[in-house]
Amino acid sequence: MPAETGSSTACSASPPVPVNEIDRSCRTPVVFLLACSQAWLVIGLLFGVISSIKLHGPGFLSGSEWLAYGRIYPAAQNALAYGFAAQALLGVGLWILARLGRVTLQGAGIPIVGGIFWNLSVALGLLGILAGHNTAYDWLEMPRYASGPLFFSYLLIAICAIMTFKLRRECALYVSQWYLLAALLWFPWIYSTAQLLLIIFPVRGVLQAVVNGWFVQNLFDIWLGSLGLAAIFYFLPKTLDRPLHSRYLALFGFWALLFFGSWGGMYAGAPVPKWLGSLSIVFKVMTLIPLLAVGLNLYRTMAGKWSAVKTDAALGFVALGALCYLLVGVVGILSVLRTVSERTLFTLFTPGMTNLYLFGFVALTVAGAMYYIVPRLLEAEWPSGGTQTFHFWTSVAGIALVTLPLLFGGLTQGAKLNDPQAPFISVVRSIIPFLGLSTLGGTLLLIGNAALLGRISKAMLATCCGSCCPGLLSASQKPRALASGGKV
Amino acid sequence: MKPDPKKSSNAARPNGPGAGKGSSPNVSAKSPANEAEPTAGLAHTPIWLIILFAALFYWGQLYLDNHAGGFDPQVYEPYESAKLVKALNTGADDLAAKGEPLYGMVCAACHQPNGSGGALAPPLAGSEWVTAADPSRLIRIPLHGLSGPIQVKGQDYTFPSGMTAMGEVLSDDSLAAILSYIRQSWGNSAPQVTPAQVAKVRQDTANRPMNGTATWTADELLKVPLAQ
Ligand code: HEC
Repeated sequence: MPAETGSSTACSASPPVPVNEIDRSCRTPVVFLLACSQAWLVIGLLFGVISSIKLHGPGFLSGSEWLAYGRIYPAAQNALAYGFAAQALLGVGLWILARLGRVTLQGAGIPIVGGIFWNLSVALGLLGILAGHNTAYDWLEMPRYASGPLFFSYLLIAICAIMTFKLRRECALYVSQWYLLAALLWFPWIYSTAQLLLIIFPVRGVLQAVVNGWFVQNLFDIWLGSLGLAAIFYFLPKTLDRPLHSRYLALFGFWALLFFGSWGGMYAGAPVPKWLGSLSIVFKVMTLIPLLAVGLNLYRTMAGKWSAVKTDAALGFVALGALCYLLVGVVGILSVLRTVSERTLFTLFTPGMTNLYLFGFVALTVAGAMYYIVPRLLEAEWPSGGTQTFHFWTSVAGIALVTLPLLFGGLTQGAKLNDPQAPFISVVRSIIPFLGLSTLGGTLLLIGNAALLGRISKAMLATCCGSCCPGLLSASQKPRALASGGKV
Repeated sequence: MKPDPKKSSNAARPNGPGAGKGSSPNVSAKSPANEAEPTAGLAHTPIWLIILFAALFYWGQLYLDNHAGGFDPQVYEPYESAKLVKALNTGADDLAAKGEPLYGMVCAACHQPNGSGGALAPPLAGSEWVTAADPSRLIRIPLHGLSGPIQVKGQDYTFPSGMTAMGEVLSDDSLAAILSYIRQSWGNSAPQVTPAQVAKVRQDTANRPMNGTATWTADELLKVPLAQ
């Protein structure tokens, strides 16, 4: 990464743009992406809860084929990955790039158009999945007529991000910018490769599983991982108001993640030549190094300021998100080891890890970022602190319940499945309590996030109405900027 | 200059001390419009992390040496090496074992799963047509079909509909597997039929259509010379 030493470009020539101007340029696109992503989170959770109930109450909503488990479960997954996680982290990333570059968001209309089409594509894709047009590839279930538009909408958003990066006024690069740039370029590569090799010119036989495994590995460990880390590396020092512990440690962790995180994705015992599984294991285990580098860096940055977590909501969420990142990383590494994977493969363990990743790492980090960004962009006060506390504790309890029961349930399920004496139906019966707990957790997450969605909509509405027809608002609803006489 | 946008109770703190460290000199951290953005300190990567990195890397190499089957595309779980896989693969495929499910799908409907025959077909168990040392006549039966009166185990049979030709739908490999199976089951014990033998018969009978219009009769088959 070129850093302070980078040859002088446009960045040193022009003066930095004032913060409030940057925020104003980000307002519409970033708030749009964040609000839509929160809506997808709620939809994804709703679908997730429905599919989870079906696992222990198979009669539930069994009348409609559109809501069959095999359709609604992948629909939930795709709503969460593409509607929520990707969109939210891209929105946060755009703002971080503008702030760190000390420049307004370039071509701010482009990501709005991109965002609109992104959301339409996700909606189309989910409808396709519910209608039965599932491609049957993990995390790529959206049919072709949705994945194509999705890809091009992404390019629009990414072009704006890269232009903003290129035209930055601040030459020195910060850690978050490395991660964002890597992630922005990574997605087109993995997504187009997977689409070409699986859907358009499908490779033959088990090679499909290999390509799919590679894609999923890169989607989570590199793409969503880098986007999330960019936010964590930004907000932790920012809200603590102190520099990140070490640039060198961050650099080490960054390259180690890109190198070791991008291989593999196969599991031991898959019907492919043995070296593929073994290579995947070795590379996954090596991701312990970037994990430790990130963990250590954040830990040292936090050192001595732990109590700030209690007073600063944004910091609290982001710090907990970072903790989940480290946890899911360690669990993920353990789960590929041959002795563990022969027990956890094809059990509840895998969805347990996915939940920890999406609801722990991604959703908490995004929530922290939103608590920081949205009031600034809307120039409005958040409505009361009550929703915030409610959202925090439903999140914590919800994440614990959608994660721990599935992880432990997966371990017992695997042990029983490997025992030829245990009748299959008794294995199925024994995991019902774990599934029930995870339905409960999903419901808690759903309620908490619906509350946050309501809160964001309210703030948006207040700002929106405030700027066009202030007379309609009662004094209490007025955004503070207006109340204090500032103009928007 | 407009005041800093709304601070929620928890969030914005303007230019903290320490935050300016390492940031480029052309940004005035003092300007109120320029809130400090995060920067990174210059602490070194701890040596234990580098050592752990090297140790894990070394472990990775050892692991791949032992568990990657020499990166040979022929080595699958649970085997360890190409040498072992070759040693276990004698080259002699167990044709009869492969033929069992095929027999079940293609022939058992008429000849019965236990080869006893019945209302639709004569028996295969103990049949001299099946167990003849030279399989040239046997191979011809499923290739082109068979009709007319036939003697099996000293008993005369006549089946008006005869046996259909299957040479067009069964490959040399499948046919060899099925015939090996019927030659080595239900008390029959004759050497297996190889795909090469089936291919040879196909070649010898190249001008005979396999669509059921040129079925053999028992008399005709008996004229086909056998190697002793
Ligand atoms: C449609 C029912 C039918 C099917 C299917 C069928 N056969 Fe036959 N098979 C017959 C009949 C009928 C005869 C007696 C033909 C005749 O009329 O001469 C016969 C005769 C034979 C004979 C010689 C007589 C004997 O009993 O040894 C052999 C060998 C034989 N079949 C093998 C097979 C094999 C191998 C298959 C599967 C690839 C097969 N048949 C499938 C009906 C069938």
